[in-house]
Formats: sequence, C-alpha cells, structure tokens
Amino acid sequence: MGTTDRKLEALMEHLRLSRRDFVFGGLAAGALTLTPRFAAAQAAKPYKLGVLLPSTGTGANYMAHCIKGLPVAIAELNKRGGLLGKHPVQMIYRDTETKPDVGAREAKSLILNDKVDGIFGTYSSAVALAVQEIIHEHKVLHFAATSNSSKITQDNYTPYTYQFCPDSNMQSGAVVVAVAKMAKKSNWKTYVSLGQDYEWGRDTHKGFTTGLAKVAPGIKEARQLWFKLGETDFTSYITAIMAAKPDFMFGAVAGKDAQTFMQQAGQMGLFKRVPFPGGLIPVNDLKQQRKTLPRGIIGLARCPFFAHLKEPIMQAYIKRDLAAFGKDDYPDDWACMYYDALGGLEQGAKKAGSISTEAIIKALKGATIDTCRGKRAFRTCSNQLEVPSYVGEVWDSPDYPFPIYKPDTLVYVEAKEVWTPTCEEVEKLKKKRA
Amino acid sequence: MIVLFALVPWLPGEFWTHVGTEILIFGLFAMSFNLLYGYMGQISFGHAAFFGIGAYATAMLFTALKTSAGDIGVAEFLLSLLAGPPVAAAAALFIGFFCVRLTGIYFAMLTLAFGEMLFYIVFSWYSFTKGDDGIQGLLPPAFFQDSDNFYYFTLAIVILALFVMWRITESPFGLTLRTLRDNQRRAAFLGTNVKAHMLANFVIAGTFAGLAGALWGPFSRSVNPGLLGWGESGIAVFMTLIGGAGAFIGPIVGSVIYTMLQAVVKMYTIYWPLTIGSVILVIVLFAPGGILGIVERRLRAARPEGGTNGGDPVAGAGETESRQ
Repeated sequence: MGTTDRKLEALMEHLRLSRRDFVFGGLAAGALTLTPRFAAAQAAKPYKLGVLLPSTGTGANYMAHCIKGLPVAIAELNKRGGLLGKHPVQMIYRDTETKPDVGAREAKSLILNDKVDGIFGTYSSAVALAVQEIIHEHKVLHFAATSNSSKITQDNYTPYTYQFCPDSNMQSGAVVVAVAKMAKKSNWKTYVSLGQDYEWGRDTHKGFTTGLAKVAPGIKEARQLWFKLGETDFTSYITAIMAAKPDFMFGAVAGKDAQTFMQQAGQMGLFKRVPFPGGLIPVNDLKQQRKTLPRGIIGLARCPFFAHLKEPIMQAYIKRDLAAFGKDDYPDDWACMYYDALGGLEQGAKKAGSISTEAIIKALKGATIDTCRGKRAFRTCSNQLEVPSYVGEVWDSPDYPFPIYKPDTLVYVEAKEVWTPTCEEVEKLKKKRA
Repeated sequence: MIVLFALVPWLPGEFWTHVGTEILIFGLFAMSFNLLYGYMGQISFGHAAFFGIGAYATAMLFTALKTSAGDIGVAEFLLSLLAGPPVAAAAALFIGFFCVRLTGIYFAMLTLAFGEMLFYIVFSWYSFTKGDDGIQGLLPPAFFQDSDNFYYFTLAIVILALFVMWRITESPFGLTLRTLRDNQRRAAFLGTNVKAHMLANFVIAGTFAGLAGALWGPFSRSVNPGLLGWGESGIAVFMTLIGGAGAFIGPIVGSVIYTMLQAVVKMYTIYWPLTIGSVILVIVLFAPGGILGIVERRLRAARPEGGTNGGDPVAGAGETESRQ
C-alpha cells in the first residue's frame, strides 16, 4: 500500500470517526487531492472545484450530507486519477450563509483568489441567481443541483449554468400529475394552498395552480395562505385550512418550516381530515422526522435513493456513503443530485477531452449522461437535466430505520410529462446579457 | 490613509481590489450610521433599510435604462446611481419623523421595526421588487467593469462624501448634535429644536447610506432584500464598534478590519460568525472606544503632562455610551 493509499484510508477512517466534523473532512479530502499519490498525473494541472453551499443559515440542515459527501466522492474520483484520469479535483468549500450577497462575494473570492475552474452550488435560488451574475461575467462553469427556481435556467439563463435538479415548474407539474389522478379517483373539487412567502414558494404554487387548471379545470382553489420563512406557530393556518373544508390541500413548504408544519398539523389532526399530497418530503425529512412524520401522507421528492436501487451508480453511491458515514446514514436527495453533478463534470470533461470550461459546456450541450437516476439528457435550450420527480405515500419499511415512500404508491413523473415552458417560450424568457 | 487606499489596486490579485471596494462602500455605510450613533448618541438597528433602498432605487432605474441588448450607457449608469440617495432620503424623512420622537432603546427598537417592515415589503412585493429573488444583471458599462476603474470611481465618491460629512460634523449643526448626544434636556432648555435637528441628521445619515447602497448594486451585479435586513444593520454597528465611534474615521477603520478579516477568515474556516463574535466581545470588554480609542489613549499618554486631547469634541463617544 502506497503512502497516499494509506492517507486515503486514513481519510475514510477520519470520516467515519468524526461524522459531525464534515468541514474538516472536506478540507482533508481537498488537501489529499493535491498529494503526490497521482504521480502519473502530476504533470497535469488539478481541477479546482469551488463548492458554494451553506453550513449556516436556513439551508445548513439540508446541505450537511452534501458537504461531507462531496469530499468522499471526489477522493474516489481522484483515486482514478481525477478528470480525464490525470486532473485531480481539488475541492474548495465556502459557506454562503444562505445569503445572496455572501454567495456572490464568495463566488468572487473563489474565482479571483482561488482561481477555480468550476463552481457547484448553491442551496437557495436567490443565492444561485446572484452567483450566476458572477460566474457568467467570469465565464466559469456552474453546476446547480439544489436551488431549483425555474428562473435559473430560463429568465436568468447563462450558458455556463447546468441544472441537475428538477426545477420548480417540473416539481409542481409532478404534483399536478399525481393530484389529477387522485382527484379523479376520489372526486376532489376544492383545495386550499399553503406556501412559504418567497420565490420558491410562489413559483411552486404558480406552477401547481396553472398546471392543475389545465388538466383538471373542475377543481377550484378555495383559499391561499402564505406564511413568512421561519414561522414557528402554524395554528392559525391549520385552523383556517380546516375551516375551509377543502377536499385536499396543496403545500409549497420546505425545510425547517415543513418540519414544523408537519409536526403541528399532525398533532392537530389536519391530515386525518384533509389529504395533503405533494408536500416536499425529501430523504432528510424522512430520516430526521422518522418518529413524528404522519404515515400515509403523500410526499414529493427530488432524488430519493430508494427510487433507483437498481441503478449501478446509485448502488455504488449508497455503498460508499454508508461505508464512510455509518450504516444508517443513507444519502439524501440533495447529496444525490450533487453526486450526479460530479458525475456530470467527469463525463463532460471526458466527452470534451479537456477540462476547459468552454469545451465542457459545449460537450454537455444536449448531452446524455449516466446518473444515479439512470441515463438523463440535458434540455438543449436551458441546460436543465431531464430528471423525474417522485410522489409517494410515506410508509414504514422493514428495510430501513426510517420511513420511505411505499413502493407500490411511488409515481415517477418524468420530465417530459411536465416539460414547461416550451423551448420557444424559454428563448423568449431569457434575459439579454451584455 | 487616502494614499494607502489609492495603492490598493497595486496589490497582487484582482480579488483584493474587490475587497478594497467593499471596504469603501461598507465604510461609507458605517460612517453614515455613526452620524446617528457617534454624533447624535442614538443607535439604529434599522439603518440598512436606507442602504437597501438606495441599492434598490439604483437597481430599478438601472434595469429600466438598459438597452434592448442588455447593456447600459455611461450617462444612464451615472443617472441610476444618482437615484439612490434621494429615494433613501425620502424614506429616512418618513421613518425619521416617527423615530426622532423617541430616544435610547425605544429609538433603537423603532428603527429596527421600520427596517424589518421595509425588508418584508421588498421581500414580498414580487411585481415591483422581484421579491426574494432580488434584481440581477446590474453589469455596469465596460469602463466600470474593470475592477480598478470601479475601485477608483468608488474611492472618489467616498472621499467626496466623507468630505461633506466632515464639513457637516464640524459645522454648528454638528456641534449641536454632540450637545444632543451629551444632554438633550439641556440642549432643549437652551432653545435647540431637538426633534428638528435629530430629524435632519436622520435624513442626512439615510442619504449617505443610500449612496453606499447605490454603489453596492453595480459592484455586486445584483441586489436582494437581505440588504435591508437587520443583519446588514448589524454590520454597520460592528464596524463602528471595532474602529471606534469616537473618531471621525473610526467606522472606515472598522470596515478595513471587518472586511479584510472576513475575506481572509472565510478562506480557511466556516467559523466566521464565531470569529467576528469573539472580536466584538474583546472590543466591547477591553476596548470600548474601538481601535482608534486605543490609539488615542496611547497618544494622550505619550503627551507631556498638562497636554490636551487635541480638542476632538467627538472623542470618547463610544466610551461615554459604554459607561452609561
């Protein structure tokens, strides 16, 4: 075993032993990528990858597995020599604090000071939009895999951004498809909407109401309820929903607020009286709220590992993360999408035969890549990866220490089923850039 | 100090020119805050509202003046910058009308309440402000896209603004503000219209904060509602405490330390909030007059017996506050 192999082993051991300290793990893995283990490739320059994700602020909880998982995935990639087998990837992490101006500042720092070749991030759509201005100006590759406002790939389009996450239109479209089926079956006529009063919430709500009006015009929205981010008391909202007596409710609620709402709504018996299909319930929430999450509710996910257990890339990914972080620490939706982003970078460089940004964006234009979610192609007009959304019933599985979506209720809503707007419309939406 | 600032673009790496620009913009913002705190003796936790309003006013006019190709001319760019200060001044006049009726903690709380109110308006009013997305695409004309050119442009504006602020603080109006800071009741007894002076100063401070905000949008290429939030107001407070509220240039010195520290610390660790918290703790406990307070005390101690402090009537403002 060579010196660097021992270092890699030591890193894996380190990651096992200090799971909470993912940042040190990240730094260690980043440092490792520079070690002379890749002696054969040492003549080739390393690929500097800036990672802009929050470890503080509202997005910190969702991003923890990404931040600790990426260094492990990068170390594995570097074991193969890195990009093109000769460019080891050096990860440089920065905390965006879930604030747009901090994200933009750190993007500048990564580009101008650290001279990164590419940037992964961010969590919040508002931060991603601010960062896009910087990466476009400096012509730096940008892979988004969590922030999913449709504006990122449409209104604020830049050829340097590639999106690995289903956007807000696709996600709300997926709920529409699932709800339309349920409504037909149960003869639903009215619903109440509850949303987080910010861009993602508004965008998701708009996508859902517009979509549902098209596929099921007989279903009417009885009331809209909006709450501010960080709401801690949902009593008045829950009471208002019950008072409206809808056939079902739609929710554009995510993150910590979703946890709080679910807990309070469950305690007040809301879900026994009003079905709630389509609330975002990613793997994080299934894991963290394993005791309190009401069983039988219908959730929406972006990249749940249990939906693609037959995919070899997903199998390898799960195996590696469990080995690194412990037997119950399955990768969540966000980590899965960033893993696909890393795979996209590797395949883009391979296809381009180069690690230059211009070559990679040209190679990925409309390309099909292998992902945890199977073979997926980028939409040519927007660089949006055509990935599915997942809707299913929360259920206790004998195979996992937390609930998952019941396999026979799991609906895969493919991107092409909810592919809006059309490419012609996307071209009109794109803003002119100087 | 001006010479040192003029040399910043000579530092190796374009990044440090960006850091220098940020130091200047936030320094101006903190200086405007200190007109309220250091000179008038009132602390505002909502001062970023004017910074943000200035930024949004510029961003909106900037967007409206862009050509169909997405770029903007030099004249239109400069015109958009001019929009920030008057809009911020108008907002300060309205908010100040209510705030100056109170002092101390009540003044602070009311500024915080107004600041948060404006934050939520900007955050939620999608059709007008673009909501939490903010406004992007504020790429200035080609000449100003060069980081050195934008830096010197900002430096010129900040120097001009500080000169005007200096003249204001040294004028009879400025001296009256210090009297209000030290003893409002006595000032009123002497015939000073306390509320009118406080309101005028509130508007002046808001105007300069709006100017700083106007520069921020084209520098950052985007604006967002967070610029109006209490966190941003806190930055001005931190910078002023670090540099020293008792000296005219204290907030600028604070901005140099805060911004440089942030740029460097965030390169190595995620524990920036812990770092700045520790710095503030040390300053408050051991150097309540800030860095310049320490310098001033050292200089005073070095002077021969019977020497004076040079007569800066603002000296010790931060310390006075801490002793109360």
